Parts: sequence; structure tokens; C-alpha cells
Amino acid sequence: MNKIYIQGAYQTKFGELWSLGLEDLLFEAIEKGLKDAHLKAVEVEAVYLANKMAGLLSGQNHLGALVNTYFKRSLPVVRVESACASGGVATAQACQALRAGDYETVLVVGVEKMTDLLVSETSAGLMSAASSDERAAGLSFVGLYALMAQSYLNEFGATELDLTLPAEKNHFHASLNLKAQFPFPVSRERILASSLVASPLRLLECSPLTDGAAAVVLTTRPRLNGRSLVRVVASQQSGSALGLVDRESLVSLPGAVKAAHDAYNEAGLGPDDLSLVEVHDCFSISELLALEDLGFYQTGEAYFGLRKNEGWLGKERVVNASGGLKACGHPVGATGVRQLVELAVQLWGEAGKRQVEKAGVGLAHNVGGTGGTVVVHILQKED
Amino acid sequence: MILKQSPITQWREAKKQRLLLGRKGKLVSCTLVVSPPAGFGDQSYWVGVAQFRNGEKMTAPLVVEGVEPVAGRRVEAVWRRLGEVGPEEYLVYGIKLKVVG
Repeated sequence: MNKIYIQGAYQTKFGELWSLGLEDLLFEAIEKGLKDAHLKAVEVEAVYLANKMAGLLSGQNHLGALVNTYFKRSLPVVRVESACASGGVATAQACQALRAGDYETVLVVGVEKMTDLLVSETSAGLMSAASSDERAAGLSFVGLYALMAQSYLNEFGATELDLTLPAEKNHFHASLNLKAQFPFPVSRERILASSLVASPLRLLECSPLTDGAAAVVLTTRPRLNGRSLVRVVASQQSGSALGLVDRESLVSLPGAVKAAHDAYNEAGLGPDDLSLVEVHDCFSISELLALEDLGFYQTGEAYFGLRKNEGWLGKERVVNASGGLKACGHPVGATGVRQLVELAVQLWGEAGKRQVEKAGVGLAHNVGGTGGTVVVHILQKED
Repeated sequence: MILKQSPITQWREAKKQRLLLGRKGKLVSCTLVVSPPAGFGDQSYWVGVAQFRNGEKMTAPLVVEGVEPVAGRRVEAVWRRLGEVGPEEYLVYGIKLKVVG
């Protein structure tokens, strides 16, 4: 089977980018991603495009044809939609084609434009990733994760202060990341004092609405451009039923447990081999659940680790060095790709002030909806 | 530009929802939605996950009249108006779970 390498990686600035439309973001990521890979446009054989809501919010589907508009030629383009896991699934699809030898060099790009409409309209659009019963019940995505957070507090004795800890860490990390939407620290006290959005989750525990795009170039014929080779050593996808009520537990994502297990097996690595991880912290509770689902802590115990500042830059196994979804931002379709950009940049040693020391292996955990889809990738530096 | 629900989809849904009337269960978890999505007005409301006696679980808005919604409390499925008046000016009715203590 062919070995897959990251040849190039790029993310746009994430934020409320009112002067940039969907097309502007997409084209910027493609152009700068290819430039980072030292690749000419003509060398790309296929494109995997991740996007959740362009049809709903911008009235634009048929995004494959938009990619062809950029390239001014006709390429095979696959648009992947798996809610917030669109980026991860697009990457997984690209890996399958590369493994099979269908292509040697492909581009994976994720894009989302979320700030053109009212918050309530975008919030309703996001609920297309949930079940019809959840929509009919008047839930927002915050509400869905709030139900999970409330169960976590009830079952494991965690407090509302514990829910602030992942967000506090991620804001500190983002303060070192110029591309982040919120590049400034926020204290746990300020998070705890922010207004309730859906109890017990507060405003500053929720990832924002974000515009942005990210791209990675994957190849089975890597060229050294003065960088170490970074190889995709695991690409695994799992999931669960769409609705929260159709799962056993409100405090674990079975898809995350399975995808992580399969990824560790594929790579021949375990949680202790990881230098850094990018987890899907759409809400602060999601990070706590992720750390448990990935096998770093027993169920119900991740908050003890956060209390001891585990996962902060400078400690072992840094979690969300980029600032994560909370502080770097969450343009839904782009996030899964952006996580891989962060891992690649870190493994190449190009992360500047937020560089993880001796970064050798990174894991990305990308979740769709409340866990209906979960994709786990592991990247390893080859010396 | 989100495509909205239609009278046909509501009619189809209501047929299923009627079958749940009167079911009794217990709250598994609940949340106060302070920031509603479009179409649900601008006032806060409670939503919960309940488990019925036959083991099935359901997500639904809660009817809170004097009994505080807390995990473990008993609930009963009742018929109420859902959401705000839609764009075609028809009223939507369906199941809410009343917290009965």
C-alpha cells in the first residue's frame, strides 16, 4: 500500500471576515496551499472539498464546479458533507484514493462561510446536523451539548468551573496564533461569568461562528522542500446514530472510541506516543469527552487532568495548541482540514511561539454533529 | 436562505406524534435554552431527554409549571403548540413533556 505524505498545508485567517465571500476563502486556500506545497496547479490530479452549509446559507451547491472555476480546467472533485466532520471525511476519502494508487497527488480543501446571516438563522442551519426530533424540540447545537454537559456534571461530580478549563487553555494557546479568531487569553473567572446560552454551557464555553478555509496537499511522491517528511500513519472513520437518544450514553461518543482504537491499531501507536492532539472542542464539554474517548483518561476523570493543567503548552501531549475550535474558530467544513494543517506545521517545526517541543506524532479528532461521524487521523514525522 | 417546513411535513409529523400522547417516563437530562434558533422566538425554554418505561428515549421541549426540571423527575407526554407561527401562518402542535415531580 502506498505511503501518504503531507506536501503542503495552509489555513486562512479565521474570524468574521465580512469582506471575503465563500469563493474568496476557497480560492485563497487553494492558491496558498499549492504555494506552500511548491506545486503547480496542473500537478493536482483531484480535489476533495469539505463543506457543510454553502447550500443552506449561501444558496450555493455544486461546489465541485466552483473548484473547476479556480483551476480553469476540469478536475475530478468530490464534495464531502458530514457536518463538522466534513474535513476529516474528505481527508479520509483522499487517503483511500491515494492508497489505492488512483492518484499520486491530491488537494483536500475545507471552507465555510457562516457570518453573512443572523446568528439565529445560522444556528438553525447548523441544526441540519442533528435529528429532526432535536430540531422540532427547539434545540440549538449548544443545547444538544448542554444536555451532555449536564449529565457529565450530574454523574461525575465535575463543577461549572471545570467546564471553563478547556476554554481557558485554548484561549491561551490561541493568543500565540495569528490566524486564530480570538488571539487573546481569557480567564476562567471571565468564562464563568459569561451569560448562559443553554444551561450549563456559557457563551465563552462555546465555539464561535467563523468564516475560513484550510487546505492540505497529500501525495505518495513527496518532495523534500527543506522540511521533514510528515506521513499520514492512520486514517479511520466511525460514527453512531444521528440522535442523542439513540445512543447508550450522553457522556461518550462511541464513534470517537472506535475511530481512535482503529487509528492506534493502524499506526501501531498509543496515547502515550502522542506529542500533540487537536480535538474537536465545539464546546468545552466536548474536549473533556474527547480526552476520555481517546483513552487519555478514564470516563469521568478528564477534568482532574485539566485541574492539574495537563494539556497546556509546555506539558506533555499538548491539547489544541492552535487554540482549538473555541479560540482558533470553527468554520465547520474547514475545521477537520485545519486540524491537520496545525499538526503538519507543528511537526515541521514552523509553529513559532506555540511550537510544541520535540513534536514527533500528532493526532486529529474531528466530530460531526454530536458524534454521528468521527474521524481520527494520526500524523508522524519521519526523520 | 433556509428552506422551511411545509404544511405537508407538519401533517405527516403530527400523525406520529399523536401516538406518544400520555406516555410516562423520567428525565435523563435537561437544559434551559436561552438563545433559541430561528423560528422559536426569543424567550428561554426548557428542553429535555426523557426515558419512557419501555426503555425508549425521547428529546422534547418541557412544560415547566411549578416543578423544577431536574434529572430523575417524572414526565408525561402532553399536546402543546410548538415554536412560533410559521411562514405560511399555520400553527404547529406536537408533544411536550410535562414535568410532574
